[in-house]
Amino acid sequence: MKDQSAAHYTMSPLELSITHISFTISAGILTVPRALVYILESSFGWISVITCGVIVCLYIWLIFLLQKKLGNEGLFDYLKRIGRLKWAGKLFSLLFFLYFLAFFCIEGRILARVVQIYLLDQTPAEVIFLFMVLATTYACSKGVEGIVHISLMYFPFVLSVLAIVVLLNIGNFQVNELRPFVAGDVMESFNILRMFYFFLGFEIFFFFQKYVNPVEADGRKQKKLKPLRTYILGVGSIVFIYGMIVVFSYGVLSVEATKVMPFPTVELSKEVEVLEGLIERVEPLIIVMWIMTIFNTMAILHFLAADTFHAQWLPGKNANTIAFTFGLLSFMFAFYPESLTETLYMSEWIGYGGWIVVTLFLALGFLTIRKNSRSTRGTPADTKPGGEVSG
Amino acid sequence: MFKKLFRKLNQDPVRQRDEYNIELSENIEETKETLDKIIAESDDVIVREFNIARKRKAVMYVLDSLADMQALEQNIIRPLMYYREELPSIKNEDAFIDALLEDTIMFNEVETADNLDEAILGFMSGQALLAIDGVQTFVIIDARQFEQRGLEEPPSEMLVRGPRDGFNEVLHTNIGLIRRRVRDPNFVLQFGQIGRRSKRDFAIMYIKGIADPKLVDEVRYRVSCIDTDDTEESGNIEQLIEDNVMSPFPQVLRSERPDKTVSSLMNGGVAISLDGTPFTILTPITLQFLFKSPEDNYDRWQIGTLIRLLRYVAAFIALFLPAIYIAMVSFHQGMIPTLLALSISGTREGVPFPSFIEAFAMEFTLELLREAGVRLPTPIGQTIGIVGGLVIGDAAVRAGVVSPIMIIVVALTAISSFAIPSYNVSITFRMLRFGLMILAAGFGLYGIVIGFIFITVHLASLKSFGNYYMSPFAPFRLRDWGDLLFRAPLSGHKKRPQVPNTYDDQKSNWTK
Amino acid sequence: MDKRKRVLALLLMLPLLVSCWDRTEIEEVGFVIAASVTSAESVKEDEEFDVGEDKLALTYQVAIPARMVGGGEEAQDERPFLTVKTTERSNFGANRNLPSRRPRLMNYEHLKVVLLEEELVEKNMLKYVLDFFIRDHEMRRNTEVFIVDGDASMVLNDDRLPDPLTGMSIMSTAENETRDLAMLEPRTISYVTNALLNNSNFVVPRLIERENTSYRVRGGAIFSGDGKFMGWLSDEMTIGLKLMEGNMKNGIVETAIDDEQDKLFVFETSRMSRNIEVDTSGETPSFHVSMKAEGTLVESWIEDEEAVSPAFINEMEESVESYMVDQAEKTDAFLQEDLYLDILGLVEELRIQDHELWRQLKDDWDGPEGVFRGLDITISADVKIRHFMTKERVF
Repeated sequence: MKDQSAAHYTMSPLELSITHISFTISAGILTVPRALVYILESSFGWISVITCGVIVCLYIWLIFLLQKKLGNEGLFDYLKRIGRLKWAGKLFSLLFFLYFLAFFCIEGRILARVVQIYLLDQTPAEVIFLFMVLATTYACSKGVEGIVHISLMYFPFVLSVLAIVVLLNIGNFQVNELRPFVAGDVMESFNILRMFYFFLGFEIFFFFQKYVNPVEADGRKQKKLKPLRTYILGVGSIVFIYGMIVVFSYGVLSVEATKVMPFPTVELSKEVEVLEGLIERVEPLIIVMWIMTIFNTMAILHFLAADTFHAQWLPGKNANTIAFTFGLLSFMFAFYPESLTETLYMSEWIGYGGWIVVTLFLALGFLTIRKNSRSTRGTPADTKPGGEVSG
Repeated sequence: MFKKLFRKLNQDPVRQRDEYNIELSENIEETKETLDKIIAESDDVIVREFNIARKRKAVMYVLDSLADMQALEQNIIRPLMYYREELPSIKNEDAFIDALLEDTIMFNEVETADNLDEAILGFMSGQALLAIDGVQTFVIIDARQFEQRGLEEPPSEMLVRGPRDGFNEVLHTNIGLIRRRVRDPNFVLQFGQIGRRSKRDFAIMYIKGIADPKLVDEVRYRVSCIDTDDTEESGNIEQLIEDNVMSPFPQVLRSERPDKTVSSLMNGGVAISLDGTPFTILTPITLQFLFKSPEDNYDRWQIGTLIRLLRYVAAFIALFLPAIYIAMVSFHQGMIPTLLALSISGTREGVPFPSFIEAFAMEFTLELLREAGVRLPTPIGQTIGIVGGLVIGDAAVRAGVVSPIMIIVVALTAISSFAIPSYNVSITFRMLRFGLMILAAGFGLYGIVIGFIFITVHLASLKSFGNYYMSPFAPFRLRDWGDLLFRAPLSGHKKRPQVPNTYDDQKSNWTK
Repeated sequence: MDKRKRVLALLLMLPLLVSCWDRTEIEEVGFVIAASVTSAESVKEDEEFDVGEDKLALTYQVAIPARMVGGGEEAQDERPFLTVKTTERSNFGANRNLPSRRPRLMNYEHLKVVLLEEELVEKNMLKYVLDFFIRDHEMRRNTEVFIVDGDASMVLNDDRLPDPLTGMSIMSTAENETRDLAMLEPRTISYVTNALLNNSNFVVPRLIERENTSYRVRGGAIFSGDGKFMGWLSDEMTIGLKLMEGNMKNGIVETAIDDEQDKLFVFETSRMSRNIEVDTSGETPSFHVSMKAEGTLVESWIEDEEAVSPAFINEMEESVESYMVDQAEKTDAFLQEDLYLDILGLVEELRIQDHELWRQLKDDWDGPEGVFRGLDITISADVKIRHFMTKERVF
């Protein structure tokens, strides 16, 4: 039944964009202000956030162009269909699998640590991680629509919690902390290498764009909805959300204090005190919200890894088995880094790795598609779109 | 004594299938013998033998419990017996029957049946069977008369503002109530029989031109796939046609209210009504339907909006409050405001149980009271609910077994769960509540979040007749948000909801 | 049910088997409402605090919730808290002395105030002492910090009705600073941390312990950016500081026209702001602080027929202005000439208005040879009396 629904499943560009935002905003939202201070040593974080946003837009535009050529099949489906490119599909699915696995482990590790710090002191990190893996495995079994719908459901929560934290902190906000706006080491803020990690997530367009409905139910062409513009707006909102958080943590906590806090965003929520202590504790809210976003990201990672690998290597087997194996593997690798510092350090490398894999894959797409453009156009309808994760 | 009765009841050997002859015989005696074997075994079958125009033998079979005996006597037997004119020749069977039907029998619904299969079904549902000597055709007279309840206000769906009539157990009455509200010729009603043995009547209703034909086909298909002895209640049908049997969430709506049924039909839904129960099944639904009550539209939109929001808050409380209490009290004391923390701590001083046991016991007691209250006769039931709640709560606090805060939590949860208009989904919430409480007892807030994640993941892919259950939240359907948490003024509802998919979007035209 | 599902089901049953690692019932927890840190008696008055050798003395005020609820007569007799004192070389070490002494585990999530003893702070221990209160995840960032003039641990033994918990009542008392110019704004741990991290000078309100009987929140303790205790800010100086910070709120000015004591009147502020202008044209920057205040006449003993005429009001305004400028100048002189320490935030203003100059000067701003000492600071005030409440004259 899930096979069928995945094959017929379509989504709107807005839904894809929201999924992209949810995918991108994950563990990063807690650490992004600190990461920026580390690079810049002053309060120019927002410039590099915007630069990163522009680069992401560029990538999305390229992937969008690529997808236009492919019609309604994904690049992986295409590689699989073209016989002599099968190896590339297999290779990249493996690369993506590893990259997603590493990403998943890091996110899970950070999750376990944060939960230990703020909620459960004594509970072993392994148990916390295990529960998350169980949840993501369950989410995987629901297929694409499950994954996308979860993102759609959580998105308003995430937005409203962030809005609450920001709004309630307006009283504590000190503009002086940010001033002067333009001075000194602006150039340094273009050193965005370390920001990569926080913006990874646009690779989702490789996988999910094929589900975007070209024709609406009432026959209206989706083109009128301007999908690309929606995606770019999505990136804009990511930049905006990051920007808000960064600006507020600098303005409320001060730049220097942000530097010494592992999770400035939670500390930001701890600053909130409204109506003489009537609402004095919003950090449970932000932690709950954050667990939800990180689950969302992890579920997407889990699903993409398992689904791609399944389609390229073991199409005959049950996709759930692969999802399950992924969970087991992640459980083994997640506890490899010895400390939180090491985890955060590794996350940077994964950032680079992810960027490289995506760039290579994009390049491969452009190279091969140009060569095979005729055969693509010939049979767009034969191929069945859809991840074959069955229920 | 019982032995005697038992022997009497069992004196006839169990009937085998092929013991009787399905063919009708010209001879009335043979027919009578066959029919006696098939149907006259029960004691409420009345076998009335008489002579038509004092010449020809006839026999009428009828079920005493379902038929209007007086009408039969007055309008059928009497005219036949006093038939004065010359009877047509027995050779011309058709003419004979016609003469009977057209000239003699004074009744609305009269039919003929050639074989026994056809006739028996009618007979079993209360029609009278008339066999005449020398004629190989049955005359079936529909003189059914049911005992029926009046149209009372449905107790499961009380409203302050709105019509006071509700469905009763008779299908035809129920259909009448709907017909009275929909005079569109496109309103389609299809009868059918369900149940291998019970052969209950049911009706599928929809409005042609609004309901998606695919949906109607799907409903028909699923209902026709039911092959069981009897569907005692529409709840059985509900369980047999729903998409996901493992889900705790109801996937169709049930209603005793004709206005709710009609509103569902008008929005492209399909209704299934079963004889013998006042509950109509409305399908398809999404989660948000369970939070809607017809009243929302009867009052002005501000009131509707406010009440809607209230219900969502109530659902949140009903689902999470005890779990949050456990998490806060046993795990995250720092998250409670200082003075509240101190007062909870002070009242819990001396309570021997951990908060989980405390909460679990109280919630369990509450469920027990609720269940007992339902079973007991109405006046006692209410008393038990109130007295039991008060007495047990008070005594528990005085005995120092539970803290007063716990009582507040439990009471609030109970009230909230009753504030949700759909009874079945409030039971679902109660069920999930216990799960969340267990998770909260193990992992505090993290456990609650994980529980919430599991519930949402389940809901994210749940479908009701092809419609995503969480729509319009996910997939995002902007148009339906006008009647979701916020109910827009009626002039804003120009189009029908996007879920379920409808053939014709336009609901109303407002030209200014 | 295939094998996979069975495994999954088993895993899902895990929560039933696990012991709940973190479960501690609320009634098994002792909530620390206030804490004071002093140096243990063994430390000599005039010696440096020898870190790692000398001991800290921590006093915790722990709430007894059962005595807070239920009201009733019996609750009145007994104080709803107990104090625990323990000594150890470090804060956390001191905490860990408690489990062996008390049945309940201490919980610091509701810690409202931290009182630091002057003697300890004088020995430059602020940074080290506060570390625990910032680092631990149980600690809230808005815990308020006070420097105690006197015996800090004695303060915690003082219950002040109707707020029986000292921690809570100190907090509420500190909030009254809007009404008293000699009280400083309460400072949270978060503020102190940020100041230390930014290496900017700061002032923390002072809590005066009065011979075991009661306490008073007035004045402040001045710290340099590296956490060194520089001296007390007296009540008088506090007024000047608050004026220059533009922080009068509802503070009052009690003054007389032309310093004739019989023409006494009281001015209550309703709105106040200050503006600092930086002039960087000279070799060293010069600052001009202008204060603007609006308010009402709340008490007047002036028996004068013309007390309501605009000219008279002007006169009153002028005397309030001169009072304000006097007070501000006194504080300024104290800071520039005695302490050589900028707690007015002038360096921040410079940073915002002239970044380049700030870079050059920031490192030798304070201190006897610093720039701040020789700065040219002028102060002016502008006061408006908006109305006289409900009465025009003395009878």
